[in-house]
Amino acid sequence: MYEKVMSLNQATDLIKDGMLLGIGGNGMHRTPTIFSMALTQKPVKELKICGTALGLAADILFATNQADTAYFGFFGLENEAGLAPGMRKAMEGAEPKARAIEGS
Amino acid sequence: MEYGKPEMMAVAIMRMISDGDIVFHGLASSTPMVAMKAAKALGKNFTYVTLSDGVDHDYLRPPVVASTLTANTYEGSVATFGLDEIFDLYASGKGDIAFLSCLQMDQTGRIAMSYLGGTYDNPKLRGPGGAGSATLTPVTKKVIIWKPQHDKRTFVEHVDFATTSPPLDKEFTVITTLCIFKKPAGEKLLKVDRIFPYTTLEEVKENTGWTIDQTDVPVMDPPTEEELAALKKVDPNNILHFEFK
Repeated sequence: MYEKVMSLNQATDLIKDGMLLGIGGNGMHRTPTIFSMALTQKPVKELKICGTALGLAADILFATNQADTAYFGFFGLENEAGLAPGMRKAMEGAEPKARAIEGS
Repeated sequence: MEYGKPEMMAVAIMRMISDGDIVFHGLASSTPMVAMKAAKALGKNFTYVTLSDGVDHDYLRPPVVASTLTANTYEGSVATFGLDEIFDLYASGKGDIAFLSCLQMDQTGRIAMSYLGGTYDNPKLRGPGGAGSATLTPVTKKVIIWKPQHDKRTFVEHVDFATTSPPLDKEFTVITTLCIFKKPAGEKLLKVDRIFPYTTLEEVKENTGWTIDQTDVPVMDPPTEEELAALKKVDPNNILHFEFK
């Protein structure tokens, strides 16, 4: 466990183009928002994101177009904030930049 | 004591729960959360499971926001029981009630949660997804949909892409702000089971996207003083009203 404790900068350096990331938490809670914010400062792209109930941390990566695929049962910001705007922007319309692989 | 649509819906939810039931609600479900806490306050002896991982939390710990993932649905729990275990329990046929919701629904109970308009790959509106509803609906004894609206945008003639749909062999119930629809086990179509005291069958018909040919339906009893008091007791911050703004 000790070896897994590292700085945010070190952690985001582990992420490479095209990786599949499991993002924990549910919706707006217990989800690594600060990690995603730090990742937006790195030039990684084409990320695949999976989670049971993706929320804010995942939405950030779709808002910046760094993620192109989401595997999920739920993707949203719960009642307080509703539908996930970054995910919607990336996935809706004639030329979506990301795709949803939904399992329910 | 006065009441409105939120209280009537919550009371309708409370009355669906019987002693001995195992009852689940998921995330973004503040209406059934408050109603289930109030059902506990009324003394109903059921098992409350939800994805906070807590079982039968202390229902007197009030929600302060509309999330169903905060500490108030875990603190004081008698056991820890994860979402994976809840799904296993329900898949084994032991789940009595699951409270779920929808973006749109048609008369067969087909539910849209994935997208509205366009196609799956090019949606006009990308929804949040089924959140387990396609897994739970076929295996739960009584699936109960709550929807804090009743209009033709929600209750449509035909759902293009069904995220889930009710099984033929099980009862399926829908609680709206105006009425309760029910599909008995063995039947395919939702019918108006009863309307709420402040509406009429005509208003229900005017706000439903499919044709309702019923001419006479029962009216549900209004909330009792005891039921309204239970709602106030467990929800001093009035989170119940959040979904009705």
